[in-house]
Amino acid sequence: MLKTALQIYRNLFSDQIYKKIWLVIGYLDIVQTYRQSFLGPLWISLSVGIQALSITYIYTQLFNEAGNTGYYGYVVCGLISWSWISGLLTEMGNVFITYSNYIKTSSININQLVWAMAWKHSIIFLHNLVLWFCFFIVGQINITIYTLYIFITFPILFISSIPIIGILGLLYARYRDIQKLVASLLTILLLVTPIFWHVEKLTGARKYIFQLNPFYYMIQSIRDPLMGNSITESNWWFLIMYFILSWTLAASLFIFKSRNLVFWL
Amino acid sequence: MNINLKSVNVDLPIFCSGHHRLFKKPKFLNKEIGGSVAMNLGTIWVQALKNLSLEIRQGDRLGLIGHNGAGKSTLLKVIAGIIPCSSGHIEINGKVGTIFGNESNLSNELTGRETIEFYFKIFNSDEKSKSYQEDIISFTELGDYIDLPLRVYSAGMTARLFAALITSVHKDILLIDEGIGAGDLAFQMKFSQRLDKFLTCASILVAASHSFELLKQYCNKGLVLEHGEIRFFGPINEAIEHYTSGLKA
Repeated sequence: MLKTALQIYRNLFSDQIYKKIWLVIGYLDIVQTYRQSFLGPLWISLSVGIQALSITYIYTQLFNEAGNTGYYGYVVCGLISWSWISGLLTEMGNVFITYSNYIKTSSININQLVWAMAWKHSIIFLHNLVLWFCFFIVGQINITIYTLYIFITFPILFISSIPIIGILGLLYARYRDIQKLVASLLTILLLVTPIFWHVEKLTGARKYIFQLNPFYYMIQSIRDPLMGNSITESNWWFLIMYFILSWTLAASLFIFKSRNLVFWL
Repeated sequence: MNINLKSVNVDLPIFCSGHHRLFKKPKFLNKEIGGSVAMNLGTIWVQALKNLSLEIRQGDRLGLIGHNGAGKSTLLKVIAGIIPCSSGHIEINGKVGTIFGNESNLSNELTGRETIEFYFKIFNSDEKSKSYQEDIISFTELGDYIDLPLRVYSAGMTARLFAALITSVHKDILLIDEGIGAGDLAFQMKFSQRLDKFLTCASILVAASHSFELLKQYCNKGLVLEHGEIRFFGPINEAIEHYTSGLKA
């Protein structure tokens, strides 16, 4: 039992450290997506930028944030974090379907593909940081010593997302219904998660909604450092629990399912 | 270098739309060709390989013969490690290379040169593409096309590129499915020389084909498969004879 568990962790983790095929596959995915466009991957930051500008223009009035200069930075950093989460949520389940040609034609370790998907979205995230830098230049965002926290929080989120991508990828590949479910949940998540509005505005029972929402903590772990704020204690606890939980979950599911993956594609 | 299969069974579960929806019962499937189809616990299974035991030793050039769906490609995929076996034991010693005819799987947006680079990084990560690149490019005779994206290539040009790419690195065990139809006649001749050279390095060849010419040219042993079971295993000429006599009868 212990041996199988160790084998799973070896497959899922250390093999990828030694053999970095995932870096190539993830990069290749980005390259081919933007090959025929004129602006190339700049589109990633541009589309989030357009979203941010149009939303802040309207919502400053809606939420009475007109006097609050930090609101632009708050929304931009929130959208940068959200676009990483939503992009990953939309695509993570499709990981084995998107990369099915690798599975069908070679004996590639499927965990390489899991890492490739996480890496691809990290590249997208890096592109969005261009936007963050632009808002820093125009003085909407502060950079402080706390900004360095991003080098701790993002890698934790990255590593924790690996088992989740693997598990969801296997579930999606077998039961294609789950994809429809996530797609319909995504819009709701966008609206109920504090991205455009401040959590302080919630009172009474509604306060608990965000406290139970894991995506709120994910967004905060990226947004706070990007805005030059420190990370709250509850957020650190979330990151630790998320990391432990996802890597514990990994052991259970990989034993039964991944062997038959090639038949589901 | 050897391949050892001991009582290998391969059952392929079939998950197709309509057969697996809630409140919908699957239709009965008739067997015309292929492995036998069975229903178990609501899942349809195709028995692609049944109790197959086989030992392929160094120097063997094995030709797989059989009707469509006899299990030739499944056997190759099992040896290549793409499909897991349901029961039994497989032992493979040596580096495996495959020519399955569907290798153009990277991206049509990449140029020929990039394809070579990425292909090496992904599938031959132990080797450096630089040392093979010039050899591949000159062999394909693609000229300036090598720097154009694959989507403008003709089918023959793509085939040339991948034929050269696959045969560029030494492999111990080579698996070929349904021959290699690469490019025009001049290229075919050039390629068959390259393949000969490549095969002399590979110590084991397993090829599935319906072309007896090709099998006689490259193979010294033959394996006749029928509904996933071994019907005959021996010298290639006798295997072909066994298969064709079965067809007449």
